Amino acid sequence: MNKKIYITAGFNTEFMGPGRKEFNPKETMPGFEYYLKKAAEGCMAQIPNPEFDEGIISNFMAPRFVKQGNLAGFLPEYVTSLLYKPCFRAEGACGSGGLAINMAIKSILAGTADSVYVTGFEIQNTVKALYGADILAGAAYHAGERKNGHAFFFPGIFSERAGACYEKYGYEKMRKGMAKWYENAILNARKYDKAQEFHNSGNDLFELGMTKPDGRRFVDHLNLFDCSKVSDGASSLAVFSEEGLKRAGIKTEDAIEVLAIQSCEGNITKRPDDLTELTTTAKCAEAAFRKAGIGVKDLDVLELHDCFSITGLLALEALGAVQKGQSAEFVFEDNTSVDGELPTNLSGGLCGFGHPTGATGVRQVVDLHSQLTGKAENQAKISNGLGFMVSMGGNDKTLTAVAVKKI
Amino acid sequence: MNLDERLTNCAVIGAAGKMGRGIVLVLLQEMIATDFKLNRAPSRLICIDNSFDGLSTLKDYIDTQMLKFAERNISLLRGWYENDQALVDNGEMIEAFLKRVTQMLLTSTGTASLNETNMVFEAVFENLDIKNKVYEGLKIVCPERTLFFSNTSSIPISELNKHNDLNGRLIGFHFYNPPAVQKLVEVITVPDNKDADVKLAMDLIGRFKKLAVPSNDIAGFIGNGHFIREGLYYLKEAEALKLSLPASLLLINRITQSLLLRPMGMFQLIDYVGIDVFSMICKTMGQYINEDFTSDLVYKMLDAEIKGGQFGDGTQKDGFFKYERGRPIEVFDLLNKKYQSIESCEKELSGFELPDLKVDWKSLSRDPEKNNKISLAFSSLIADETNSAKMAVKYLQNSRKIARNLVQNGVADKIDFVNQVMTNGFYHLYGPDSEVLSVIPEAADE
Repeated sequence: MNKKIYITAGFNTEFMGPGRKEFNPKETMPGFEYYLKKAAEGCMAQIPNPEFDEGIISNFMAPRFVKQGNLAGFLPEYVTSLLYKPCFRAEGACGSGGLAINMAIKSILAGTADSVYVTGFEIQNTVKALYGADILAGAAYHAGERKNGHAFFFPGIFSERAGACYEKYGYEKMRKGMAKWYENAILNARKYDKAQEFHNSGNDLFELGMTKPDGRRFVDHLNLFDCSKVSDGASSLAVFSEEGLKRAGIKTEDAIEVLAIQSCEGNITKRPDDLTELTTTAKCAEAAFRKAGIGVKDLDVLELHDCFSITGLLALEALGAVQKGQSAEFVFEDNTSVDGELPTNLSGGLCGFGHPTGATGVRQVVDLHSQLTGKAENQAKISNGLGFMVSMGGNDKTLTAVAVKKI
Repeated sequence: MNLDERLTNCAVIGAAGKMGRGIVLVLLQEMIATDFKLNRAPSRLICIDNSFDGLSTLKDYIDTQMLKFAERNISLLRGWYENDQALVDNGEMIEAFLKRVTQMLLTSTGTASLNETNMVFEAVFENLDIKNKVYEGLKIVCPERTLFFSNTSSIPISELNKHNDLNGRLIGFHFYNPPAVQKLVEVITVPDNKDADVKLAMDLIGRFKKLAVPSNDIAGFIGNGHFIREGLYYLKEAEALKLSLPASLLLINRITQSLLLRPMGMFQLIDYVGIDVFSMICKTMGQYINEDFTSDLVYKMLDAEIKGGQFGDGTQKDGFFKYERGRPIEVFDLLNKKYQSIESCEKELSGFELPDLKVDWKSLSRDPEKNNKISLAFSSLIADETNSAKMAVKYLQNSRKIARNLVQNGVADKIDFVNQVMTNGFYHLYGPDSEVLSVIPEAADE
């Protein structure tokens, strides 16, 4: 990168949905304005001089979930310094947040901005899950895939991948890894009062995760515990150049440095060549590692896009953390928990913290920031000062990988 | 004409009533499923009721229920619409499905549209004269092939069959309330019925995913045969106990719920059914069976205009008890014609404390070990010296005696049928004469 890029002032709202005590879909729940306001206030409260040159808002399907388009127009409402400044919306399905961060970094690298406000949000609980499935199916090639897809669509897509993995590597082995992934997600989320699964007080998490999938009730190869839930929520952070950081009055140690960012787009109209691989994820991560000059073994903390437990496992393999077919064992043997070899998704990930689609990529970097600045609720030991995240949209289509470093 | 063919044109009479609308719902779901299975045009379901407002409410009910059905069975719908390329999203399929439902339903206050109907499900008020009048009309308009199914809980089918010269085209279908949820249908056949028609009736109940239990054609059949006799027994018991009537009602209700491990106490159940309905069934049974089906207490309650039953939205009307959110809070005092608090009745009940069985209907209903636990609980009742425990044992013996008499008197062909009706239709955890009750000693008169 031709100049230093800093990220700081990360903030997550509560991620609301089934699982949280205050969630009640029969009552009117807070609207997107509530989350955007809270996210803006939470970010700006950490910045002595919150003046931004540019704003990016990431979101996937607000025009359908809340009938609202032209989302960039909401940025000056909550971040007043953005009035009459350039503001953009980033959309890449569940990978929207990753794209937003990339857009912010590009502006700084291009010299058109020194400070960029980035926020992401999604409101999904306005419709029942089976109608939400129709909306979220837009993350795949709707005309080509929806008709023959499962009623709940994306669980069907990743169920197919899980099924292929069972066949190739054995059901029992995969299931144990997936169950452990669920257990970790909930145990981690319990340490974050804003996490969707914060109130989950179940005892037999691993056993639940071991539940045999039943295609007559749900999908053939995933159980409900393999899935992230429907969430509302927003996340925010600030991206600065060195000068921007000074102007904002932020101490360098309160920021993290971006070593590399890479976005990669797969062809949305094509089915995966190999269901047991996340090919685009692998390409994207490889490029980001190469640019950053680091490898997966150097990481102190990792953030993966686990919309389903199987996706988390396959992402570990795509990053080269383990050989193909080894991720389930790796997770089962506790290597991804907070004191494991590769601490992953320490705030619970999508399965535990929640997955308001447009916010998730931003949330992942917010959590890397709190880890690397030593302020995380579920703090990992930081030795190399390196973190990495992968944001994914669709079925391994819209990828962004970010390598960050403690200052 | 096979069942699939018959399902192309059906009718429900008394469709707006609480039983009728439930029958409309289960029938509609089966008709749609069959249409899709056979890839044929939407069949026709004609809903007849003499209340125009009732029919309008029926449409709303069906819309709401069928939307829920579609949402719950979205994968099924996706299969049904697999070849319709215009329908892609769940939402689009549900919309098309509901439109199809509207196309299938025809509502009317008159019966003229029944001239092509293959099966008629009659669920009018439980009164012989009213039912006879309905069948007189139906016989004129319906074709020769039409089969009739009467939803009756007490009126003998042979009576309706003969009076209306239906030549065995009538079969009794006693649905339980609410028909869409309850799994049991008592099937009442008469010798005039054709074997093929009886088989078709049984197949149809199977298609509804319900349990068909055969009952012989004796007024009240198995379900009311047991329930009404038990109810009358407890009514007499309440009058005989040396307590005030409200205290007796409360005590017996508690024993029959908590110690007999039933979903609700007997007087709450009579309130649920309706004291007026209870009385009417007693009257019908009394007409055909040489046995005392009278209860002074019931007549006095009705004289005091206390009828129980439910409001249109399913909430409980006041009867022996006054209810708040479905729970009894006060007991009716016939002497003063007003409700009296449960606390004041309790003052009288010292010496009638209930032993703690450590289990209840709710905790046992999903327990795979329930049979063992029920046997243990009943064994502890026998060992218990309290008044309440002794009464409970006596009540269990009485229930068993009623069940055995139903077999002896030819209402049920075997005791299993009685057990099936009580467990499936009344949600009892055990049949009145089942294995778990072997711990209860035989009474002298059993």
